Amino acid sequence: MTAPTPLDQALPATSGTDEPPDLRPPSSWKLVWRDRRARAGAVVILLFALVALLAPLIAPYHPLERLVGPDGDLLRLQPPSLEHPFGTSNYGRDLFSQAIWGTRRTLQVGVIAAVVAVVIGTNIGLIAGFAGGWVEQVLMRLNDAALALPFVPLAIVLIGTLGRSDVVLIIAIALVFWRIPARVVRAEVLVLKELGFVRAATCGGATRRRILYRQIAPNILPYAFLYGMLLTAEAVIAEATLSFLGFAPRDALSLGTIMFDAFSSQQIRQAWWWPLFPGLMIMAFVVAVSLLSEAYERLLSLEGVDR
Amino acid sequence: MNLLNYAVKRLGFMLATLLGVVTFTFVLVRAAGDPDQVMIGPDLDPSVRETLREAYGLDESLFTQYVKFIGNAATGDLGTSFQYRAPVADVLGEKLVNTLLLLLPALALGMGLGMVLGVLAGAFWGRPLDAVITRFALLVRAAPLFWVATLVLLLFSYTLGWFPSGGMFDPGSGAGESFTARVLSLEFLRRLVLPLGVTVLLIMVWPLLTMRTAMLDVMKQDFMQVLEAAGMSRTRILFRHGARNALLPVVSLMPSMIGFLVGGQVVVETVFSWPGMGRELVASVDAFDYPVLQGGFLLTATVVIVVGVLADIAYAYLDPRVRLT
Repeated sequence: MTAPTPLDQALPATSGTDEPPDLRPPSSWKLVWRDRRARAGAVVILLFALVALLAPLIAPYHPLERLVGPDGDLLRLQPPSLEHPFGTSNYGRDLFSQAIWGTRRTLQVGVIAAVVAVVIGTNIGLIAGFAGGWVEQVLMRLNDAALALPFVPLAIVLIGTLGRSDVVLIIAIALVFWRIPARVVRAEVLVLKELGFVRAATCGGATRRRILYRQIAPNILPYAFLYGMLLTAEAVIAEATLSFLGFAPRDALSLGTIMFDAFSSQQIRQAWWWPLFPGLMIMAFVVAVSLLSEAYERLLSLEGVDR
Repeated sequence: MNLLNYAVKRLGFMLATLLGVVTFTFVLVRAAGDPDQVMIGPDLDPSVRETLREAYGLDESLFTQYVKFIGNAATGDLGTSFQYRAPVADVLGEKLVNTLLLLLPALALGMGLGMVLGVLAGAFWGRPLDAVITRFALLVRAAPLFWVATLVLLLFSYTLGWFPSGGMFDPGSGAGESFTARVLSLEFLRRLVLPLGVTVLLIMVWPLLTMRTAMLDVMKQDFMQVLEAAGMSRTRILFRHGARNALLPVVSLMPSMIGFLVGGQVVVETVFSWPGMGRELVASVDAFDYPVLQGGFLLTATVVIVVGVLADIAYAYLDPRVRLT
């Protein structure tokens, strides 16, 4: 055995076992989990994910089935009851089942759009921060210009000319929302690229691409993750808003289209429950995301990125 | 860098962005398919078709069309509406007035209310008043706007019957009266209340949360304690001296807020059947009125860009430090 170094002495005693002490900092998830509010957010998000995944198993009825009561009448506009917790629509459809299926689509579009926006934004931020010079100038001016794209009108004009489809919706979301992660990632890269390990890699003869994607990129992953979460919430609201305005694909069923049906059927005068519950669900999801991401963001700003 | 240089630089950026948006719109027009097919229809007699192609300038090269498109957009010529058979600029101009009748009072009220509540929340940081105000703001932010608007309509119009459910005017009334007289009527104000209220709610959250955070910094500064020691009333300290120093971040908020606001306006106008730009934009999709759709987008984006750059310049005027970067 070698003589104890100052570092060894600074470490806690291992109380006689041969096991080396676990010196790794607790994972960021463990730290986030200690926050009560973040925990609540994580549980709610998990619940939504489960509902979306298991929709066919949970939904008590087919979302489009026209339900008939024991007396043979269509169950039109029934207020919430144990049998139909969210009530029924003017066609006698079970709104609880619709909300469950709608959650599936809403989350699908939300997550895909957020991932696309974050992947684009992160890469642009990485390249802008690392390349510098005119590349950075051009990309950052583009970033400024993206601020000028008002999301709803942009989405309407895209859907109006290219047609109603999820792809167009996702393009619209990505076009507007890539700018925020790009900006943050670039700022982070500017700091990272001056650090020792990057210089070491440069001296070791690593290619620029390798340095960017192997050395630098892993360090900004927490930010990509944070903005992935935040943008999912944004995208969920965006999808719901456009669906409410009547721009969802024709046969789509999402939390937004349920509220579109409610509004456009002009039945909300009688059926307050129809638009109420899908909106509450969206709100619950958005609040849950912000609780979790706030805790995660606090952690990132406290620790900086693990370097 | 002095203010003038900064302003010129920002205005240059503004022009470049405007050109970008016009180009984007032009590409979109072409991406929608051959305008020839979309606008004229494939089944026409070839000679009629040729005449129409010439009338619309479709016989010229793509580049010539592009240049003309930019020239027309710059001079406010946005083409002719398919459904109204009138210049798009006239159609949209009329709707824009209606939108501003709703938006400008909402902006004034929303910014004012938001700033006052933000100052209060910041001054009482961590106490019950702050908790109530902030939770309320965060809930408003998390709720989809169209849903809030729908519930407001449901509650105050359908259930309580306090306000009419939509539109700017009573359909039967006002024949022969001038537009100004009708706008100043009580009937109009009654119809304004609900959409105005929802828009104010949408707007006030922004300055509120920003002001709250900014106030936290201001409250810590020495001059605030000096004023208190000098015996000045707390209200006066907060609103005359404190709030003034927390205003800057609110100005820097404008560029991102205006784009968001324009989207909110589309939703509010749709729910409350307000005959403004936003509602027209939505309607133009169903009517396949491409010139109105694209002109509406162009106009909206232009407003967002111009307001954003003006806010940038105002910010640089108020805080000389930003001119350095």
